[in-house]
Amino acid sequence: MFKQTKGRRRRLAWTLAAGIAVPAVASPAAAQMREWDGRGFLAINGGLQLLAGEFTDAVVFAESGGVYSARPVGLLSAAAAQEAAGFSAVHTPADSTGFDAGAGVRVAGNLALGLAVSYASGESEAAVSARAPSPFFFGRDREFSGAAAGLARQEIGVHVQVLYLAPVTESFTVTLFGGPTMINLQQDLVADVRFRQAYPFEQASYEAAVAGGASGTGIGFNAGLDLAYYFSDVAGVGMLARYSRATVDLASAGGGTVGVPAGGMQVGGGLRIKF
Amino acid sequence: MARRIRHGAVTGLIAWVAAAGGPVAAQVPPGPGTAVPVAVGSDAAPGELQAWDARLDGMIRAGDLVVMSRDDDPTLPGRTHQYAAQFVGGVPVLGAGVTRQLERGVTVSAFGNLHENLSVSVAPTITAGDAGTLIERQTGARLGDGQTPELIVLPLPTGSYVLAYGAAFDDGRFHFASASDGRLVHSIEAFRTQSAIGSGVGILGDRKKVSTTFRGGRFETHDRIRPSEIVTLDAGFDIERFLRLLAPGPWSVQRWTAQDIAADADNDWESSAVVDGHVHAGWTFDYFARQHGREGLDGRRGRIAGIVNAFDDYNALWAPPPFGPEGRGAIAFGQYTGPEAPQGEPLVPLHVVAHEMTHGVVHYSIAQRTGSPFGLLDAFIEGESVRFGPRSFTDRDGVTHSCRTTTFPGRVLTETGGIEEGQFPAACSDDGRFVLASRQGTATNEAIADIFAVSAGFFHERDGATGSYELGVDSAAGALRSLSNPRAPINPRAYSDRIEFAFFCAELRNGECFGSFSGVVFIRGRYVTTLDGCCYGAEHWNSTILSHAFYLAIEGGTNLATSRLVAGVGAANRHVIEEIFFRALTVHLPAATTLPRTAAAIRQAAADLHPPGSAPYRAVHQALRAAGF
Repeated sequence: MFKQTKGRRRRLAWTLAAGIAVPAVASPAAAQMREWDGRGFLAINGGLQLLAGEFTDAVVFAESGGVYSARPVGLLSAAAAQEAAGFSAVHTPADSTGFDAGAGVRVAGNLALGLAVSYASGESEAAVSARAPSPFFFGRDREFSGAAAGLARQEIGVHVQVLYLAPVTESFTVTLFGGPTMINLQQDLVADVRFRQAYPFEQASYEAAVAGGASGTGIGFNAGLDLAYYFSDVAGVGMLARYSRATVDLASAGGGTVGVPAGGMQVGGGLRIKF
Repeated sequence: MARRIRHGAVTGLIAWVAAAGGPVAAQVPPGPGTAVPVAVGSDAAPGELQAWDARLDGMIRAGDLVVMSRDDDPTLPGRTHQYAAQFVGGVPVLGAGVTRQLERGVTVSAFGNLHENLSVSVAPTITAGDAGTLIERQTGARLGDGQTPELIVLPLPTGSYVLAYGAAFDDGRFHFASASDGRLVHSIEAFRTQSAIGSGVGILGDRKKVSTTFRGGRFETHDRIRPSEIVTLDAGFDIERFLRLLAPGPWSVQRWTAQDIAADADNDWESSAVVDGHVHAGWTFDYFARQHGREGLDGRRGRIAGIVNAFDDYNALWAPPPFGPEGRGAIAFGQYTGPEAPQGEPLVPLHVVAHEMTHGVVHYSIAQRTGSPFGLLDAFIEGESVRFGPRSFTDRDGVTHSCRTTTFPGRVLTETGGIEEGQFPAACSDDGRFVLASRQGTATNEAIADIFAVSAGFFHERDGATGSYELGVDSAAGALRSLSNPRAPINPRAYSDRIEFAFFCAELRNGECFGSFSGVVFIRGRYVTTLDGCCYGAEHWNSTILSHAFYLAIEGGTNLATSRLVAGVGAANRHVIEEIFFRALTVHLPAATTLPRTAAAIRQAAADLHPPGSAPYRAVHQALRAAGF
């Protein structure tokens, strides 16, 4: 596994696009001439997950009428003094690293059915905009903002795939696939905000985010391309590009749910085994 | 005073002892002396300031003045303020002293009151404990817990001096007893009250946030969010409970209980008395803290205690230390019942709460700087707060009264602690003129309280308060006083129109005199009317002389009493004038004052902050001049 910088990631994406385009243009005639000769395959990849979706979690702490903390640094959830307090966190997941393992069996001609499991983990950051009511006056919210970093994110995807395997040469196979995807997402959300305030409580400033873990599962789809080069009858190496997408509803700190886009563009490479 | 005052009664037997020229056995007689006002500042004559400076330094070296405080100027770098109290033989002269402003060691201004040529004995013949006991016996009041009568030289309103013990008692008064035999010689109402007369709009029904404390499964009106804690107690119109809470006690020792503090199960408060009493105390704190940098009545974040539903009476009050449920003083509020509010409306509009709390600011400001435990006192200076009227007048019933023969209805405390009502002889000058007097230190106190009460209202306009110069306009009973348009003659606009009362001198025993203000009203030295009651010093009435000047310095206009025009600084610069008045209060005012002394302090504060010729200085100067100062 490795972690890309942005510059390297762009180069990799460009290379993959070129790699996909060339065989896709060249392959139809060859594919009509060749039939995939295996009964099944295994693939193991390591790589990156890119283009995860941004999402916004809006949290409202309803008025409490109860205890109010006026300590210099306090929690926003304890500041809902007769009025709602709240914040909005715009999460931007960073590219994550992961691995992928898949297998398939040929069912007819060049068609196969397969199942792949992917795992990716990384972090996300969130831009937080918050408002805290004045402890003394109605309608006198104090607004402040800050950034939360290091929010853990982990995805496990199960991808059911219908595959079309197109041997371009004896050694080189292009595989197109697609199908439904189920993604389990564990994501740290901003559960509360620590903020700084002092008399006369006319202003407040962001101090830190309090993260809370949430998890859920969503159903979506996947589609992609695999390029495999076999250096023997059994083994080879390959490159994978898969786009998957599902929306996972996670429990928000405000009491509702937030729909979080999961999946994204997975790119990687690894071992191919044909049997 | 140049002339001594005599009773107007028929013989020398009941004349002032000192005026009679000899001591009386078994008592220290009131001694002679002369009150000297000190007021030198930016408008002093050449050499006058230096002369006073040298004189004050000499008095300090001689031990006649003792420096009580020396504070850095809160606004002007390099300036310091020194208060020196006057002592005679190691005994303080009540209210006497000078506040001196220095810039890098050089005196800029000096204000205060001194007493010269005092020949009073400073050797008491009874102890402080005996004096306390004797006062208790005479008044029926009890000495506050932890209180010990203090030995002082007491300037009497009539111009004499007597060695006395003074202390706070649980009847809401400071009593003073002769240090020779313990007999009462003077008494001061300790509480600053806010009486109200009027009708008008009702309380607002607006929703406010209440800063409370959750304790013991319930919410209590204990604001611990602000730098000064604010505690609001609910006496529930139980007068015994109220008096217990208000009684004098040891400093900072909590005597209120969980049964006294207002409480609510769900923090959704239903009592408007509790809500507005508590919230407006917080808003007033905010005003002083944010506009003037003063945190708390004492400026030291001391806890503030308020009592709502204190009494079923249209009144509110400030009781200074050692009164109150923690010995720190307290504000207390009654309610108004009338056609506009037949069920009773709590007397807790922001103006009223801020007025009473400002009395607290005044008290602490004076007490901390001057060492006087009695707060701002009335200075009795001839030509200002005391002067001589006609030898006779004809009242509204056509009866002519001569000073030497007339008597006034009045009240005095008896030695058994009761109130004795009766006819008492008028106080007269040597040449038979009525002595006319008013409480001008107290009028200053009332004016300042009104000024900062309306200022707090303007400050909190965006919070729903009414910005108005009509004091108490949010009350169902209507405005109490108008700073913009005082209702003359009862609320004068100029010093020359001040209300004065003929002074009476009630005889107790052995020729000792205990006097007060009669109900006979004079304006410009002429008889106006006779009130049914007695003993009022016109402090609320005369307060508008200063508070109207405050208004004109801001808004501009003509003082209708003197036809003088004032160019105000404009409402957008109201805070500039507020700062000047606040500075006069917290930096320049001596322990005892008259309205002219206060005006001089205000003028000096303006000069301190703004150069002569500047718009703020000009506005204040013109407004004071228009008021006759």
